Amino acid sequence: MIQTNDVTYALCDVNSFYVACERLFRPDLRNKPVVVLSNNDGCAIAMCDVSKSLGIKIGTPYFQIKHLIKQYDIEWFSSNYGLYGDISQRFNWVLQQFTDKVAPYSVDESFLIFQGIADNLETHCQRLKQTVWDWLSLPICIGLGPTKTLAKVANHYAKKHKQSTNGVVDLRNQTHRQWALERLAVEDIWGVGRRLSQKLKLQGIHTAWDLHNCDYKTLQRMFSVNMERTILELRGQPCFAFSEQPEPKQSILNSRSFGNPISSKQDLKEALAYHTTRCCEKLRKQSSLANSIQFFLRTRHGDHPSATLSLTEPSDDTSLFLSAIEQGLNRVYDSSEVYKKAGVMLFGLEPSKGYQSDIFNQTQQRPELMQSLDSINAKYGKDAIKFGSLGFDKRWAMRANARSPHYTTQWTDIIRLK
Amino acid sequence: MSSMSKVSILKPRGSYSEIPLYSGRVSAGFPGVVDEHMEDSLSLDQLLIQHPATTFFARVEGDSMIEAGIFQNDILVVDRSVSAKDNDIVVALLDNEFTVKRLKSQGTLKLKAENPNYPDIEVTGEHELVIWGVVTGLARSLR
Repeated sequence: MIQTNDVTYALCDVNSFYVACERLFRPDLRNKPVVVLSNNDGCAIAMCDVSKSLGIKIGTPYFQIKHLIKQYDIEWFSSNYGLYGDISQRFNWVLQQFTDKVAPYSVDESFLIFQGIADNLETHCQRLKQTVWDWLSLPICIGLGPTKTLAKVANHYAKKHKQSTNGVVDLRNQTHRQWALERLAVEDIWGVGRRLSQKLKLQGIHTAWDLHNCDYKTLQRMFSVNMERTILELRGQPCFAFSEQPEPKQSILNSRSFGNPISSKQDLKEALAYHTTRCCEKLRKQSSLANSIQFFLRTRHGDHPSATLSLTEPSDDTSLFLSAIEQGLNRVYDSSEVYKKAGVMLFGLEPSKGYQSDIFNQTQQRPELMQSLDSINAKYGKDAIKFGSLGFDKRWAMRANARSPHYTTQWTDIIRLK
Repeated sequence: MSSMSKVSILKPRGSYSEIPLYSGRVSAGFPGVVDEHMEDSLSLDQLLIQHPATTFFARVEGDSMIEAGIFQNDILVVDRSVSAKDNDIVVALLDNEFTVKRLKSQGTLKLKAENPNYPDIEVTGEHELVIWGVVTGLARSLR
């Protein structure tokens, strides 16, 4: 019997999330290859396994796959971030039915903590996986381990061997762990990446098992504290805090619990603005643009109100995301509630290089612009925003030639049944 | 310059259509007392939706369910986390196509239309049937 108060980390990750969202209301696509394109229909950003096997990768330009789309009758979509954000929120809600410790890591993956379930945890996870499928038609993989890094490794194997593992891999067992780490290249370890792995290889460290066996003090001196923490995590010693900001991938996230629970709207707005500002800084630092922002709150009662907002075109302009947040907060805020936590996530990322930026994007701190935006909105209301974007609507529409309906966010777009 | 194009909100409890409900008498001069007696306002979301995260909406096309009081253009509230029982109105995937019908699971498995002009669909081995969700509510605007 394993000790029942042991903490186990799980990484739940949706397979080809955007594709699964597109298939949710299109059952005819269940067995058809699907590809989702980036904001401006420029390149592939998500694809099903079949499309992958045809050589379509994340970042492959559309013009390079046009012939494959025709030849293999691949269904392709412009990205529909309103839909993806909505389904992502639902996904996390379902996860919360299985444990109250859920930390979203990106739009399609979340870390979970299980405590005191021990022996039958795999069965529990199979039930979780089945439930997410039954309720939301999302196929997921789950990796289990004593640390977040090992849960990531386990998830990697669950994804790689979906059939034989049934989508759940448990690396709490020492023997299994060694087997898995011996076969994992260092660059596939969470947070290591290509640049670091090249340096590690020069030291003769090729596999995760090699790294596991390194003297962590030496590597800390050669690299960083994070490298030391990664090694300890590989050995089963938790070092990364549960909701710690991970390496940004397809999304950037910032969240924090409040020292003291708050209920005033102004305070919430300031907290969300803080997270938004941090996220946008990170966004610009990695030279990306984001298309959508999601924020989430946690109330005293454990409710998780949240909202997803999309821009008409991707941006790294803090002020745009701030006003999006404000709009969302106006809808979600409940003055009778007490809030314990707030977080913000940017997703729908793409490189800013090559994207035509307008004159407003030349400065980062523009209180004057924000003020005038606010006063325009206050004076003319919603139409002012519409007016401001009119010039881009056409271009935007052209770049989203095949966007699916807003099934879950617009009444005109809900599915029709006979 | 970008602007907001769409907003999607998922909130555990209703937030749009709220009518405040006061209990007890309002006595002048004691606003604090009145505030404490204010209860949650009524929300149609709360009435119609048990599980917001697994509930989706669908619009009815056609007249196959009129005898169950479901008409063209009605909005169905479909909960995917509820398991279907005999006699439930369900959203089914029959050979990968959506349809709304009454589920008959006693004896032979059937999808029954609520309109005599439509024959029952007997679900045999040739069909692939998936119950996508259970219709738990109905919304209709009268003007």
